[in-house]
Amino acid sequence: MTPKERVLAALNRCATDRVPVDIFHGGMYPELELRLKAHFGVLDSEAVRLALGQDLRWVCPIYLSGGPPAAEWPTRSYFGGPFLATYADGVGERPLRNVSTVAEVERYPWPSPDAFDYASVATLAQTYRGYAIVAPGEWAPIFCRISELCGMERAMTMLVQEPAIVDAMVEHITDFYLEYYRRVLDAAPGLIDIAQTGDDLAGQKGLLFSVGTFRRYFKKPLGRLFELIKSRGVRVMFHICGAVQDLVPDLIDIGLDILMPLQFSAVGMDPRTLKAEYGRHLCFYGGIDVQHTLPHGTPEEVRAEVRERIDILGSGGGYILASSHGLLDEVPTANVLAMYEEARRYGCSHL
Amino acid sequence: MELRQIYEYTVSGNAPKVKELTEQALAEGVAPGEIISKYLIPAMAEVGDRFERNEFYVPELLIAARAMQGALAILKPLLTDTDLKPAGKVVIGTVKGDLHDIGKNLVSMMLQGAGFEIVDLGVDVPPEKFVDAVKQSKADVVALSALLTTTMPSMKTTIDALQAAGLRERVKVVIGGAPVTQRYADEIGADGYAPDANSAVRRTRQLLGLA
Repeated sequence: MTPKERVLAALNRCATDRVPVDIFHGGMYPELELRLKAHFGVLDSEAVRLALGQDLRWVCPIYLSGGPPAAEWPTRSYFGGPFLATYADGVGERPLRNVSTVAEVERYPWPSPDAFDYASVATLAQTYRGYAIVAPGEWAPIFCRISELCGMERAMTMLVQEPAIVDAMVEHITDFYLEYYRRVLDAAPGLIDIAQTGDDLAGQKGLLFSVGTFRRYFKKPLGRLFELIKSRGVRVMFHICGAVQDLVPDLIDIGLDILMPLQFSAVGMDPRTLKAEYGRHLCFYGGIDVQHTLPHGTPEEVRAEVRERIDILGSGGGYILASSHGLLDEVPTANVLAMYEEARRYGCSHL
Repeated sequence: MELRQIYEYTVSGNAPKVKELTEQALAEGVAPGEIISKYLIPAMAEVGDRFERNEFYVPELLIAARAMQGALAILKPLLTDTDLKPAGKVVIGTVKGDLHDIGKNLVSMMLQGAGFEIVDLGVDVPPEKFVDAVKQSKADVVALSALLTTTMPSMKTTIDALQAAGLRERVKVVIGGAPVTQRYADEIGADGYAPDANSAVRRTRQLLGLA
């Protein structure tokens, strides 16, 4: 099977020659990647992907800048906030921290979909022919963007106290993403298999806000985005970590196909229950623990976790194996190798 | 006036109402300590319980804490030494290398709501700053937060620094944050671990023999 055939078969819950594997979100942290390049004796990232057996390729349009506000990634995103410090309220400038009227939201220089080169999507997707293409491999959050622009505490209290301002921000953010996704999808018709989006809506013990709040603000906008993606025959993968089980029925309701990244250390996130209850509607992505097993465990512990995930989630297809979040530099090289070797070895015979 | 309304409006997070009623109660001669101990602290305990039962989430907890803080800002300057003793003094901060503050702030608010005096050192706090703060404030508890697997080791460095400064026996150390576990707390010699803001209050009270 080609990697693309393998991924599509798994997503269709058909037999595969082995469990498909991915590098979380398409890439790893730079120092770890350097160590893997040294290990394999190769020079470029694509050679590392080949060596690990990665079945997916992640593609995003190229950011051209020019669209206001200037993006100084990662300290300032193209939305204008300190993206990497979304959850550190004391860090960076929050351009809408003191917003008090809808008019101020309207006046804000929201990013323009014109600031990207969409033609690059088709070029890259063609370069990676034979692989399952994720495009856009985008973190397209709505609530998280509000947190980025206002600070997270403010974003939280606004949900209760300033619904009109939240609605106005949700509308601008959604409009941007709808157009951005539309252009990506239409730039490479027939070449894209999965479109990714996501948001941060849960902690490790439960949702950050109630299911009712999710329905009030976010379910419809997300539904519009999911609908657009599916109208182009592309599957929706949604990134949401933490204890998210209470949201899963709502996400299925608006058409979710693939749930990522499966943080099983969070309360109530049991792989058996998720597979048993939702396996008919949902495929799963991720699951190898980046908080405990991968950074602190032994290679044998990593292998054992890989086998367990394949036994439970891989049963009958519907599973792409990857880490439960980004592979950070601190993860020992041996553990990364153990994860992919075991997935390729055990994943052949136990599906 | 019905003093119980202070409790109810704190639970529902109506800051303007809590402020107005607090001022009214003071004008009617109610002791500041009584407003705190009989209405504000029980209100925040109720908020914590609802949070634990998934009836309240972070937004509700935050607006209740803001309402309480508004009242405390009026009441604290009026407290005399005999009026109301804090439940204890807590030095809190996110450890060196880590800039995440939301979890630490929630714990801080809930401890404050339980009657603790808080010395908040902020984020990216080096071990020596914790040591100095404990010396100066004579704190009973040091609360350490870390959100990253890469910054967890700073918790151990901080505990080691307290040990080296001869302060370790004088304070209890509680730790928390996304990657932190009870096992890790045991490994680095912390006294307690809490997975969320409400249990942090409970654990702190237990460690000080208050519950």
